[in-house]
Amino acid sequence: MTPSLQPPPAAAEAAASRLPGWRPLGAGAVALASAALAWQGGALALGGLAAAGLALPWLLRGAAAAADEPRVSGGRVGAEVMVSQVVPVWGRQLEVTRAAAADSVGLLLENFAGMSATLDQMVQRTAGFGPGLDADPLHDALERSDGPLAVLLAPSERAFAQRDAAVAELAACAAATAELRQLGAQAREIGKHTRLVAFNAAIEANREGQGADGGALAVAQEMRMLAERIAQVGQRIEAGVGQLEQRVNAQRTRAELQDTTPEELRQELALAARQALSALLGGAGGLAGAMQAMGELQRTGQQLRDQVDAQFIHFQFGDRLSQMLSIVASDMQNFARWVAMNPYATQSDAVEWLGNLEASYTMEEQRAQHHGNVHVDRGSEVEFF
Amino acid sequence: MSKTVMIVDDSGSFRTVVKLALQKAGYGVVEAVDGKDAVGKLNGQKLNLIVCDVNMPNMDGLSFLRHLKTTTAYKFTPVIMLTTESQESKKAEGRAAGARAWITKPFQPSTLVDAVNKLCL
Repeated sequence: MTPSLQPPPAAAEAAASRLPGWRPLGAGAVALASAALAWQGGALALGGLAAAGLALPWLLRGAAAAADEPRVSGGRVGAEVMVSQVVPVWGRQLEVTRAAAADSVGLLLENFAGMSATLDQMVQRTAGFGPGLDADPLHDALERSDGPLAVLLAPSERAFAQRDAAVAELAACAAATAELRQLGAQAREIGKHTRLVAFNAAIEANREGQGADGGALAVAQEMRMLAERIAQVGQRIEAGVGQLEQRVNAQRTRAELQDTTPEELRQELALAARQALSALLGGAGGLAGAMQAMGELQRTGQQLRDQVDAQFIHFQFGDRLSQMLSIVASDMQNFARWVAMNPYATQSDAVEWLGNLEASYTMEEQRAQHHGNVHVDRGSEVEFF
Repeated sequence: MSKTVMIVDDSGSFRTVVKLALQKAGYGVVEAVDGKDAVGKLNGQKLNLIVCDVNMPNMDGLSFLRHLKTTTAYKFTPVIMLTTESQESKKAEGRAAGARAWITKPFQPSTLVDAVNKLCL
């Protein structure tokens, strides 16, 4: 939209003929309003304000020049009449522009605030599912597998503990069988001694048998038979214990040959589990791919949110523009009233006006523009007291 | 329970930007459109910090700040002035009135949040 800044034809003609600066003044105001309408971040608005800053002193000069000429003659009007009619129109245009810009910026700001909040929620929600912004999903999944692996390993570790206990029992049995073998040997020795005693008893019985009954001989015979049986039992014990020892030792040897520590078992199972997980996660369309995509989504969401947040500083220029335009519009109204009451302005009036304008500024940009400096390099810093 | 910050600014867009930044940082926010409105909204409620503009209609920020320092409940509440004013004389006025920090608009929301985190009771 191009602002309409058409002065009344008759008045414009008259003013143009009497005020040499009328047309440049109009051009300055058009630049101001156009800049305000085309505002995109405040820079153009500053250009518009610069135009206004140039226009005001020029208007004062025009008014002063008009003071040397007849104010009303043959249908021609004085500068104060022109100003009182034209400046309010500019003021209204400025106000409409300012209000439109403020409303638009307000709506944009609300939308961006909503977008920022939505992005924030998205980043937070995906953070619950995704692998994190800097994570390797496969690596993380494998890292997270340690807990479940420990659960899987628990029964095996219990079995290994039982195996170790059984091996220990076998070792104890081996010790016990050795003792049994010794007892068998002792029984065999006892048998030998008993047989020897029985043999002596038989000899003694034979020697005395000529004068005695045959009872002693029979006892000696029984003792010999008992000795034989003791010796046989001792031999069988030794033989049985020997076989038992061989079996126990063979079992121990096999158990020791198959021995795997729990840590070795854990490593083997962990390796197998990781290989299985890799196969599950590693495919292009697999879970890892989805997790990678989720991570990318998180990163993108966060970048987008940061970009949206960065726009908030630019939105602040909308408010600054509104503030500047409001001040300019107010000053124009005041100026029109002043000119109406002081048609014969002098250079000192201009100096006073400009001084008052400068004193009323609140922003560094306004002060800079007042003196024709376009660029203001100023950062946002905190000054603590 | 989150800490509460009062924002006093006649510009709705500035209040929105400040509110958004502070809420993201976990603060509760109370808004007022100028110093007079802010005085009316004090109501003895717990405020951990106040962010205040300088140039406002009805009651400007420095007048509000001076009023605040006369109250029992809020005389120690830290106040950050957030304003387009950058003149040293104005800053001196703010310091004399009891402001704890001065931030010139336009500002980075993160800069404001850092200052609030530092000063918030």
